[in-house]
Amino acid sequence: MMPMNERKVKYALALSIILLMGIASTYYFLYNQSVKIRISTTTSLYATGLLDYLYDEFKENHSNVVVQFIAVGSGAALKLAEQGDVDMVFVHAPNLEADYIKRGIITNHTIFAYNYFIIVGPKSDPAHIANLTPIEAMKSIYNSCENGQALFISRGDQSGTHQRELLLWNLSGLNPFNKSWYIETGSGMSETLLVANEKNAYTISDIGTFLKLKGDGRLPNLVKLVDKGKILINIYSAYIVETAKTNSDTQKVIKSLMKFILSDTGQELIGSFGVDKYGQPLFYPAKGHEDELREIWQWFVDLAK
Amino acid sequence: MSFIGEIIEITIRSVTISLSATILSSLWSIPLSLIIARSRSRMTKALMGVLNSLIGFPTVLVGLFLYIIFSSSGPLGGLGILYTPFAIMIGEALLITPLLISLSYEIFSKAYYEYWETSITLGATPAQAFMKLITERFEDIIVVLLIGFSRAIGELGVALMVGGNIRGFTRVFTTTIALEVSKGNFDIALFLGFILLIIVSTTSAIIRIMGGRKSD
Amino acid sequence: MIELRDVWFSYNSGKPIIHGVNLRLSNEITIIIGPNGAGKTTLLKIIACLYKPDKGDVLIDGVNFWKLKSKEKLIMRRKIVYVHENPVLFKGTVMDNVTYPLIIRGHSLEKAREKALKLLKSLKLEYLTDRKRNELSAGEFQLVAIARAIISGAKYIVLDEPTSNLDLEHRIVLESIIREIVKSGKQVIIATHDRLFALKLNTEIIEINNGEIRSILHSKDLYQEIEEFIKKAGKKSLNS
Ligand SMILES: Nc1ncnc2c1ncn2[C@@H]1O[C@H](COP(=O)(O)OP(=O)(O)OP(=O)(O)O)[C@@H](O)[C@H]1O
Ligand SMILES: [Mg+2]
Repeated sequence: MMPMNERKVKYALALSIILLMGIASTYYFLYNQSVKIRISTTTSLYATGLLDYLYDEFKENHSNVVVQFIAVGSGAALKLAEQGDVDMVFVHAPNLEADYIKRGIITNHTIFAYNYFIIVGPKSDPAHIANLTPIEAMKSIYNSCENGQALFISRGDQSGTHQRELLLWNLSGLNPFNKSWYIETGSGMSETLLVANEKNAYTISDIGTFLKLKGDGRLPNLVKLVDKGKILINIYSAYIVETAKTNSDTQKVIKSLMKFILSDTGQELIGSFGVDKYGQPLFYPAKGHEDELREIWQWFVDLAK
Repeated sequence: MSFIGEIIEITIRSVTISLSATILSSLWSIPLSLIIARSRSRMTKALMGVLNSLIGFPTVLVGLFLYIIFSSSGPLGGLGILYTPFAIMIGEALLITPLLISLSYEIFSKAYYEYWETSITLGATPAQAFMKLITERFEDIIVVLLIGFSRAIGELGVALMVGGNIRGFTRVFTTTIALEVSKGNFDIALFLGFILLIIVSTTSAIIRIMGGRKSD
Repeated sequence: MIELRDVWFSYNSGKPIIHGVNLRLSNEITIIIGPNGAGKTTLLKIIACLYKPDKGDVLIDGVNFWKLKSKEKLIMRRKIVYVHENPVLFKGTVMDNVTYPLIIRGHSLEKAREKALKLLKSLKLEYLTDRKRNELSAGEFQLVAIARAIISGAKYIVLDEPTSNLDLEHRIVLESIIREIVKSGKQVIIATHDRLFALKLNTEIIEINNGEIRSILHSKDLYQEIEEFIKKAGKKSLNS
């Protein structure tokens, strides 16, 4: 390095401060260019890529709009709404949602898509759960685990998937906790699926993550065994956040985004997303099943009580 | 945007944010460490102990703390900087403050402290003495800043909590890696990790080369 | 005149190093002696207003230094310059070092260089002008540090063990420099273990130990001490 003297150090200092301010003002300028809405969402939904896919389409006709997705856990997504840090939420945790609706934090409940949680397990299927109903499947898994023929892996992280697993055990009238065959990973879906694959165990997954890892050849030992049944339905809802400090511009954009998601185009995009990659859709559009889905949504809320 | 384009964009953003954070942090960390080094009070020893233990403080907690402050229902909510690159910048700047203070304290508390005394007694104003000290230890300070930069660019908690990992806006290396892992895109995550490794190890190579040189 | 009134000082450990020192420095040259760890360096730094006493006052020309505002402090501090027992030189050349006190006082570079060259010449050090700090012998290093202090124009020049690296010839150079300085109405305060040097300067000597003033002597008083020392040492080495 060149020898330093005070003048050069002063230049270096001045330069770095100018650089800092330059970066700051550039960002600030870009930042204030457009109407911006923030949406908090659950990581599992965001990670499928559906939201960015929808947004890219939406942008075509709304070039001055910036939509920012903040992907966090289900609970945190709603917590951000309560804090007033986001304008909308996209979630799939009916019992939590009901609580926030009651407290007046989120409104305009809109179901826009659904899919199914799946029960996956080893190819050999020691518990013989293929084609059983979800509750019967859980009972069967429990029994063969007790007989030492199988293992069960749980997310154990209070995520939406984990909550659904707990509901399933609860409805089956079984208590697997503290059993030696019940393994809690306390981590994300990908990690949990990999563990299940290693240990030839049963677990519950969302369809998107499973298909992705399966397609990548990372889950050679696992297959999808149960994917039907009301209790496995996973309902995705959008809300407008009341506590957000929005102006009329943002509100307009929020309304048109809501409209877009429910529009024929939006719903078609949802239904076809992922087909090219996985050979099957990851989501089903809500259109045409609105009343039914709303009933099921309510059923989940009541179940949790 | 293409995959490569997006990665280049994330690289540039990560480096810019972490570099700005390091410079920002140095604006208070270096003067503070000098003040601590100059102090004869017994409190400073205790203070350095506290600062040293803060170096390994969980970044998620720093992130959470800043989130509460920057949240629109928090005390600084009015600034509207939550989920912007500024928030990450400020968060990382605070995060590396104990590290920077501790490392520059090491520099100033040794014999180098005499440069300050010498300038002062030769008639320098405190500002002039400060400049002299910085000039004399410039290489060492750059090394300290590069260490701070490595820490800033490699942390996840703050970037995730106050940045929000927003595509095209606050998405940086570590948050992208976390997201790609949760997507199951391990290849992409590893590739990003590899780039991060290159950046951090290039930085530390620079540190070694500079640290190995004697001034003059 | 510099005056210390009931000055107490301690480092981080909290144990007082300077115990209630009262001192009036009014001679052209004052010498401070005392064993290692007696507190000479500490006392000199207090005199040079680099260390703030825990208790007591430091008066420079009758002004209580530590009660001043920071602007006034700068002006006052520029009246005193201190040279460390192990001085440091800055990066750059000897010229850069020696011009530094002038540059920070707002002199132009040209003028500063001119003055510095003149001083270096008078100290017979001009051959060092373009050397870097790592190209100097220990003695040259010390002399350059002293030259840098002198050029500041300070009224009080405080030297901490200035002869520790100097050979006989350069001790004589330094002595003449000191005589030159005091001729222009300045005052020099020196801490030293160098009895011969203290003797030659022929002035008042303050002996300190354990942070207290033990006695005030005169160079002459050292004569006997040195004579005895030489006799004893001589005998011993002859006997062995
Ligand atoms: N920075 C410091 N922190 C703590 N104690 C110190 C410090 N500097 C000096 N001391 C202690 O203060 C006492 C006086 O030290 P000082 O340097 O003033 O002695 P000195 O008379 O100059 O000695 P020498 O002849 O060895 O230079 C010593 O006991 C020393 O250990
Ligand atoms: Mg000493």
